Amino acid sequence: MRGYIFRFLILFVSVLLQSVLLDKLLPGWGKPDIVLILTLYFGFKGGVMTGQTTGFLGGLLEDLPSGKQFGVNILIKTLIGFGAGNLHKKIFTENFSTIFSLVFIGTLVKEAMYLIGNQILPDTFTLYKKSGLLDFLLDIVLVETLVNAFLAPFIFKLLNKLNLSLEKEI
Amino acid sequence: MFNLFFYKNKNIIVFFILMTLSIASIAFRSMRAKDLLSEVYNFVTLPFAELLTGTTNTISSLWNNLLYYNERLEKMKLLEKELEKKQASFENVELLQQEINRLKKMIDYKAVIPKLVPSSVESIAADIVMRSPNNYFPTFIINKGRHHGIKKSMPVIAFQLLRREGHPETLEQVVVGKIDQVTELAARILPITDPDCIIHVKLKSPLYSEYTGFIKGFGSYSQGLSLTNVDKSIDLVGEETLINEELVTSGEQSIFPRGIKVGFIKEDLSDESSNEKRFRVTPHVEYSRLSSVFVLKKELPKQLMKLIESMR
Repeated sequence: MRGYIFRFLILFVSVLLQSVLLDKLLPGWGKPDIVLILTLYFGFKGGVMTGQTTGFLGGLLEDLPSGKQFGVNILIKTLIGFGAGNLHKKIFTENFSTIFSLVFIGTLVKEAMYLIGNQILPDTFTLYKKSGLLDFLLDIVLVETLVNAFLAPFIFKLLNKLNLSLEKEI
Repeated sequence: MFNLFFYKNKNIIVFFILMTLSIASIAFRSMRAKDLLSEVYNFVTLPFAELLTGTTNTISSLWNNLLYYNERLEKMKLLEKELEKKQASFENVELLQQEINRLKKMIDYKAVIPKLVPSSVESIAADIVMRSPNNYFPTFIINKGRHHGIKKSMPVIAFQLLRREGHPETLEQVVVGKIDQVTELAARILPITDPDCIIHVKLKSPLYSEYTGFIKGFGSYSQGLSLTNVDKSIDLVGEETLINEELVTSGEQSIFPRGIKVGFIKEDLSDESSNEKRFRVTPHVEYSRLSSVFVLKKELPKQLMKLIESMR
């Protein structure tokens, strides 16, 4: 139970930081997606159940302040959490390059999901019209993927140090 | 037996439950539960968001004040020198006074803001306390809600220093968007870049002021706006084009008062075969610089609101 409360609190703080603080520090685009990094972390460390529930909860907290796009992040983050959970105990996530690569790929997968979603449900995603694709790829996909990948090893280390008694919970 | 089956397949079962919930939340846009969750979310997060916003604002304003103090000191020295020169020659004193007034206006623009809101329309000043946590959908949560008299669909404007090449820097009222969702203590703004935020506008130039059209967002990321339904038979003077033409709210078919700046025409997207003109418009509002907004207390007639709700 402690693990769940810890995860909820850490997700809540992350969403709050993303909504309030990061917007002031990094105005415009290119904010890191801390919720995604957390979803990947908990998925890799805790397994499928931990990954998917963290993704679902993180997505829900991200979607609550948004309007008609409600549900988009819940769906994407749950899928990513599920995917990351399936890699539990199959990969070693302790060194910089592995974490960098995994989060880099994880972010690309997320961006791909947004792109596919925008093609299938343009009225829900409303990301861009045809002419905006290149800008979207350069400004969002490239910047966010790199920022996430560079930031992830530090967040993973911090969470490891906090030692959230996750293993016990599982 | 069932328990064993559930235990063995709990990951997959929970995954399907979560997937069903996710898809349902996308499919059913107007769920009562969603509004209730938003209400609870805003109630819980608002104090933290306000605290964080307040702290960061204090730090950034302290920093800005420090920077501004130096800048102002230099400007004052320059002004003093200029004043001495002007006083000595006793010429163009009026121009200098205008310059001082302009600088003063820039310094104290926050104090000037309430006076600029159209006096005929009551307004509510609010601070943006939260923004979208992700990079995709720009939504803004303000710290005023139902309790303060804010209602759905009310227009939102802001005051910004407009910086355009070849134009003097001016403090202007600009359209931000509309109120999209209201909870007891907070409200969410639908920005004009959203395709669902449609505003009736007209060209500002006296030459073409009778030409109107509809402004609509290209998409939350694209940032640009599209101007449609402009009369194709528009008579341009000589070799002129409409590029860089200013657009303002028309005051017709809209809750926005007349004459609030929306943006300027960037590109002609008109199609020869079409019987209307279409343009790409750059909005004046810069969301990354926005911290305070004004919600104008103008509402759509109740019957129209009901009709819109029923259509949704």
